[in-house]
Amino acid sequence: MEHLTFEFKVTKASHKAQSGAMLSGVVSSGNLEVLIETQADRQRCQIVIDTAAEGFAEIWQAVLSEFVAEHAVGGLVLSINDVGATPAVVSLRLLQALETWEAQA
Amino acid sequence: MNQRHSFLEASARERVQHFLDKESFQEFCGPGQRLVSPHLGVLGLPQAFDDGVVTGKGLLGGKTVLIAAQEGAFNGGAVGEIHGAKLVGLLKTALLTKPAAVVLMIDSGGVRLHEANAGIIAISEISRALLDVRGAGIPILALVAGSCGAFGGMGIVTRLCDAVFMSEEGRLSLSGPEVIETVKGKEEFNSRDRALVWRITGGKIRRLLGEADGLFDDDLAVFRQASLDWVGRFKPSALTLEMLKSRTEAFYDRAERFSGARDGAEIFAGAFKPGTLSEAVMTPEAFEASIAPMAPIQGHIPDWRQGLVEPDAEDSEFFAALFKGGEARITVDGHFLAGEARLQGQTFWVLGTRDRAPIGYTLALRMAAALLSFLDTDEPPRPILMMADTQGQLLSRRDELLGLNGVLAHLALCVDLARRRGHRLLTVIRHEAVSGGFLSFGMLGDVVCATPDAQVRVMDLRAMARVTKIPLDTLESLSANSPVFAPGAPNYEKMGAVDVVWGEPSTWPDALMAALHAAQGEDRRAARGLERGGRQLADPIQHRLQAEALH
Repeated sequence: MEHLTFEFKVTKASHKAQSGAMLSGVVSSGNLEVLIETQADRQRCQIVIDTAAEGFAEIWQAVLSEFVAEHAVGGLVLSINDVGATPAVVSLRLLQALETWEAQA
Repeated sequence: MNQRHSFLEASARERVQHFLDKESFQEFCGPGQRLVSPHLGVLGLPQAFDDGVVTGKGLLGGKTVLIAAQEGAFNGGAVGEIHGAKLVGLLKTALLTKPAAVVLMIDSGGVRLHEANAGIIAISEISRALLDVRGAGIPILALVAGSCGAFGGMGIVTRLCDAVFMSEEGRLSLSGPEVIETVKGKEEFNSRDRALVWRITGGKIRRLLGEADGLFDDDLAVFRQASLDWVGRFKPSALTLEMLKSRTEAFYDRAERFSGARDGAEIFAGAFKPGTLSEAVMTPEAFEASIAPMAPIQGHIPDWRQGLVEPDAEDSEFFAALFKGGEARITVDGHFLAGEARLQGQTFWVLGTRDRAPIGYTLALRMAAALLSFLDTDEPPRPILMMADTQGQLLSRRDELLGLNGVLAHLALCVDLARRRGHRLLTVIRHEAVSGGFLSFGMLGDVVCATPDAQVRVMDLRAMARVTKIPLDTLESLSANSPVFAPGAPNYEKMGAVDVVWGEPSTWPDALMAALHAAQGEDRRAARGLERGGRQLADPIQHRLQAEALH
């Protein structure tokens, strides 16, 4: 297992400021779960990853940079438990998690 | 238009969302609390923020229900220490809040082998708590329609519920086909033959045999409606001796009717009304409508006493030591053992298995029949000494087909009835006590004692290696060290599931009487595991969930 932490400075704050946690996805082979929580600093997004696939920090950096640049994630903390999801699956799961989070009243 | 949501394809969380009234779900011990399994962490394996089970409350047709859903995609939905404690906490909450129903979406291979001891103890605690919920007249329903089905201890737990609803895709059994194949060979059960697997364990055969009470489309809206209807018409009926006696007869009848069958196809033939389609192409609705009425029980119900003989020298010596100063009249037949004994003015019924019994359908049923006969008197309830000596459940395709998990659950219901009627239950483990056979009998005792050389464990290491995909040598070195994994009565003692490991035979009679005086009906295993330091998470998490639910 490898533990990775990424901090991003972002321009678009999350549409949702209230506290609470939401889980999306499942921990299974080639898949991951994302836990979304909030933090006070609405200009930052922290992403914490525990992954079974070691040695892919650079790829995570690339996939996550693209994701945070495109979406309103300021003020969020995303915690991920990963079992070797491919970059495409990672992007998809992050997007699904964010959509579900935003859809919640 | 409503979109159809497949039960099979949804995650546990999605299942709960689509099953309950819209936005009514409130989770207990949710993922934000990060109650992840340290035992998986130690092995360097991925953890899940909810440890693979969603627990909470919500509304079903406007009525408050408690609900749990296992995530089959995470480690096969298997029960570890935290996962199990959440389920126990939820069931204990039900006793306090009296919901309109408890719904268990079971999707599990059974014990999480990476934390095997904690897992099997948790399943035993789930069983006890579930029987209390049932005993309190709270409707409890199992839904089995996920990708993992309900196997191992969770196959037994499923059948402890008031009712079981399945989809055709769901599976319900005891030993997984892979386990049977690994130990007994491909000729016994070819686990790669998927059609065969479903003809033995799938929703249709389970429904036909009465192991499931309803077969439904793989659609959460359908399961929701069926559950709503079931809760609406539910009439609490306490377990009675008469009810369990007639169920014993029905299980005997099933074995007699299908004695030669080793494949569901042999049972499907002739099970439907004339002129119906092949079972393979029938929709669940057509299936329900096509089942021919079962002919009345005609089979021969054997007398459990038949064939009993005097024990051999080793057994005689054992019971002479145990009841030294008193007397024991024990008889045996193969792996079955029953009798009476007297010690220090106290009479006991004695029942159990011997000589490392593999516990199959027939043996479990015989134990149930004997146990019920002990309850069937007007005399004050005697303590029952449950002798646990088992290598585990019999690994047999025929027994799985007949419903070994169902008959083991039946045995557990009989044990529960004995407790409710005031019999104190003492267990003595001799030689070894392993998995399924132990779970539904000896492990349910009020006090569990182990003789000095007794071995307690969950599964054959080779089968474990196959299921967990962890190399055998890794498992062997792990079992030398880890108390949550390692076999042995002292580990179970530390974890609270064995009360005491006995010393020299000369001390046994007094130890047995001490156990009798200590026996009381409450399940204190989690608290004891915490006190003894062997199981530090189960008790706090059970309490944490209850506190959150009652808040």
